[in-house]
Amino acid sequence: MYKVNKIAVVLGIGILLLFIICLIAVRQIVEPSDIIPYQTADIYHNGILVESISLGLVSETWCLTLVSENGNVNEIEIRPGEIGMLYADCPDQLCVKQGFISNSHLPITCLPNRVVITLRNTDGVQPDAVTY
Amino acid sequence: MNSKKIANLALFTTIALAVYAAESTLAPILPVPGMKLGLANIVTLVMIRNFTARDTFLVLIMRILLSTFFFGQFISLLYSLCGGLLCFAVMLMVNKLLQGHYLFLTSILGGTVHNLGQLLIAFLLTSVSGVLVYLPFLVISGILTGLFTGLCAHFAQKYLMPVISRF
Repeated sequence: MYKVNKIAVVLGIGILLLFIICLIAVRQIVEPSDIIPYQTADIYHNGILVESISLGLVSETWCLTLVSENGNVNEIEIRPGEIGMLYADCPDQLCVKQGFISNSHLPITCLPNRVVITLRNTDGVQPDAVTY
Repeated sequence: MNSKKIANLALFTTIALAVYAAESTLAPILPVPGMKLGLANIVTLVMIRNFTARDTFLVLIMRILLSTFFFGQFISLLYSLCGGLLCFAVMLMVNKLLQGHYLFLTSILGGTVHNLGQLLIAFLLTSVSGVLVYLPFLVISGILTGLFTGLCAHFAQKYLMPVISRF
């Protein structure tokens, strides 16, 4: 019994530490100290970078439609300064409910359709696309 | 396996399935994929504490397979399987260490590992390192829901087990 109590205390303290560390991490993520407006959005489909859009350089709203091999459709709308999932045929609709993001660390993820939209800081002035 | 055992195991599977179905109708709080209450774990916990690992494994596999057939797509089978089996292995080990006491600790660790397992699969499937930013959210959610389900399981099995006829 004594040994069990010792193990329980060790586990309990470990869990508490993990909890506190994650709380700090969450606070960092949700309130980033480096809020720079108009970042660059990276759209990944099946692990491949499909588009990289500098949100600050968007002048008018446009739509990007992604279709996967088994026919799953995701519609992404890009507005000046923000990006969001307009439509998706996944069952949970988490991606659509998230709405539009402009400077958040949290990506828009449609896991069933393997679409991920992440934001990153645009360092300096960059061209949207480069061709060789 | 005698018919009494089959009936009892089927009952446990049904309860887990029903709880899973009910929970899937709840609206998500945060747009983090994989964040949920995990109430079906209550059944797994009660079984881990009071039945053999083999019986618990059977019920767990049956619940995952049936829930995917009824409520999910094929892809969710991979997620559920990975998270569920990892969670089962960890809870089995921790329960053995704690010898059946402090069920909420077992549950917390199991729930957290379950969420981490699903995040790992999501990372492997999407190949985008950005999804790892969900990690602290899932750990916190895993700890809190694990505490809740652990307490539920502790009281459920405390009052339920004397009534269930052993097979």
